Amino acid sequence: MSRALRRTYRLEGRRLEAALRAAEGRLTGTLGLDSEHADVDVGARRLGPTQLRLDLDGRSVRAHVVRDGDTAWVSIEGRTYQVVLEEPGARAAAAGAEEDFATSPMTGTLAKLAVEPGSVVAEGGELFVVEAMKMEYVVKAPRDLTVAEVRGAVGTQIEQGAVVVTFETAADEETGA
Amino acid sequence: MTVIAFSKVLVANRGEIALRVLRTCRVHGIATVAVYSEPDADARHVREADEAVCLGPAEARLSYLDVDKIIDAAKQTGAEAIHPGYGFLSENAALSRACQDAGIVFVGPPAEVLEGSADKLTVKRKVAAAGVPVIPGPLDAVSEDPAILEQAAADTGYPLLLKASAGGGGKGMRRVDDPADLHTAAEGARREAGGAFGNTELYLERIIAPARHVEVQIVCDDAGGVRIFGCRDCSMQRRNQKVLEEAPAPNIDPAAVQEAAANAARALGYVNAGTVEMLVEPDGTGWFLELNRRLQVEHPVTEMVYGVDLVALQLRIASGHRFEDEADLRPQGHAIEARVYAEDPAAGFLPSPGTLLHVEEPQGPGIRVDAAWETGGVVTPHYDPMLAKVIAYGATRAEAILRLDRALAETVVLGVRTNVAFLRTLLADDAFQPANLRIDAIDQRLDELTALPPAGDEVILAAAADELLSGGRRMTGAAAVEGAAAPSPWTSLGSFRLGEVD
Repeated sequence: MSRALRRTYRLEGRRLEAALRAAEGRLTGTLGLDSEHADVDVGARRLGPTQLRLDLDGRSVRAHVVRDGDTAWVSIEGRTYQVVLEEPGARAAAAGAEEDFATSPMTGTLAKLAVEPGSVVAEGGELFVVEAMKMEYVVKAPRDLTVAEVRGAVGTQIEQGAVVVTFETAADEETGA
Repeated sequence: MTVIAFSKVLVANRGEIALRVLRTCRVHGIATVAVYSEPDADARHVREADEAVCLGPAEARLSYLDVDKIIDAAKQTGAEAIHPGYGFLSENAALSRACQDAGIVFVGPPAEVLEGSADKLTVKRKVAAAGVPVIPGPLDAVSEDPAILEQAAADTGYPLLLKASAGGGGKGMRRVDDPADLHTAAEGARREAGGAFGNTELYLERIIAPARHVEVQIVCDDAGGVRIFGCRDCSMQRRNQKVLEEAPAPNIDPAAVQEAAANAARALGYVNAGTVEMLVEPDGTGWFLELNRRLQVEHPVTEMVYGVDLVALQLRIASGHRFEDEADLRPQGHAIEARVYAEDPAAGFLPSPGTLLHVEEPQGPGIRVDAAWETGGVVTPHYDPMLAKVIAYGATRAEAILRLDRALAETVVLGVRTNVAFLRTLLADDAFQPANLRIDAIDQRLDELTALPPAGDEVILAAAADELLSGGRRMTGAAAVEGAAAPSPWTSLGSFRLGEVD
């Protein structure tokens, strides 16, 4: 039996397109960045519930893989990788992003707020501090900015990805908002 | 040799150290009681104990740090002794005192010893008076008055270290290179110390650099007998958090630091297992850093080279054992421990909480793994993100390195980011050569040491092959771990826990 897939993956900030077919213990097709695609022809065998073996030109690679939603977690030689399946349109959104907010990098306690609405902060200036597992993480300004809004109070729990500070946009600043 | 006098012991901790203590109890036929917070209700230490008592909610202050609840749990279950593990209440005089008041044995120093050595600055004064060399710096606490703090810092000299009097594990500690950063650093250290220890007092020390971190494992009986279990080197640190630890400490004559350690222990009237940490300069000059009044995270490397069970020895000391007629022990071979954390070295070592979708623990000759990880386990943001300690023993240091690297390469953790690749980089780096061991070696080259070669094509191919070779029916990820969906051919092979579903 032969099965095929066409996917766009993101891995460590790179975007890779795969068009692959599995048949008779081999994985064949193409893999590449945008228009530069290389041919793929490798051995591929499943060894167990999470384990696979790839044979790449005589080099044997054992990998463990578990898929969770649109993420495939891959472990090779002790190193853990996150391969993310890219949704159509996601790339365009990412390319246009200059975000007007700062989010919490982890779930934890908001230990300190260094700014308030109206604060003018230079690039690299401290915005807020999140504490989890007794480690502190300082979130800094990604650029020169003016703080529009502060969400959350010191001492409260915040989730990973939660917006803590929003910035005034260029349009806001022009109108003096 | 004194036998252990207890038939039931409560372990006031969680994670790998709770499991490790439970196992020694089991070896000696001692019944065990685990305690836990609500999110830990299904944790391994709870399942592997004979009995378990819930202490309260996730927040440590309301569970693992609540002395009254732990004493109540011991009374309720009839435990005769409490082993505190490391961290949490392990060096807490109030717990030791409460044990004495309740007629329970605290497996650690008596309350008087902990009370007399609770403050690191007080300890520093006492050991200095006993002739132990201490790191230069004022023997008074840092003032809240900015001007006085600035003067004390200037007198100490930059670069300097702000340390929490109640501190440990690198928390509440800040290095200050530039006087302009002094107040920000003091504020951060105070906040961290207050959060971690409930005490914001700081003191100043000059930075001793270059230096190694060498520590001496001591065990003291209650009659002044001191037994030395050699030196460990723990120079491989990132921001004062140990990453690799080994025994015996290579490339050093241990006599002077061991003598200083014994003198420090006697000066403090120390009892039970403890560790004297020293900073050692390249010319061999050693400075007393602090006395850790607990079993250390890295105790397994000492156990492996001395063939000793330090937890069993702690239980014997707590039973009144005295050393007088036992010969000195000598280390044999070499052991190295690597601490595996759920964190992302590429993102500033940010903790990486999450569900462990798949775990494979390394095994093999000379390998010991102290861990509480398991497939389906959850790394919560509430507690320390250490996943496991992988320890390798070899006849020589070189053999221990080879075995540890092999074991790390076989370690599989999916679902959270880990530092395993970083650990392997360190093992192979020149900084880990005995002559190059320095406590600041990692921090100085952190970007270089955390950089990894870009992921190869095999990573994408593995992800794609997993999908193509799954037959399209495989349940994966969190859904599989939680058993939320119907069983599949893959999950029925037993690598996921489905037992919670009813």
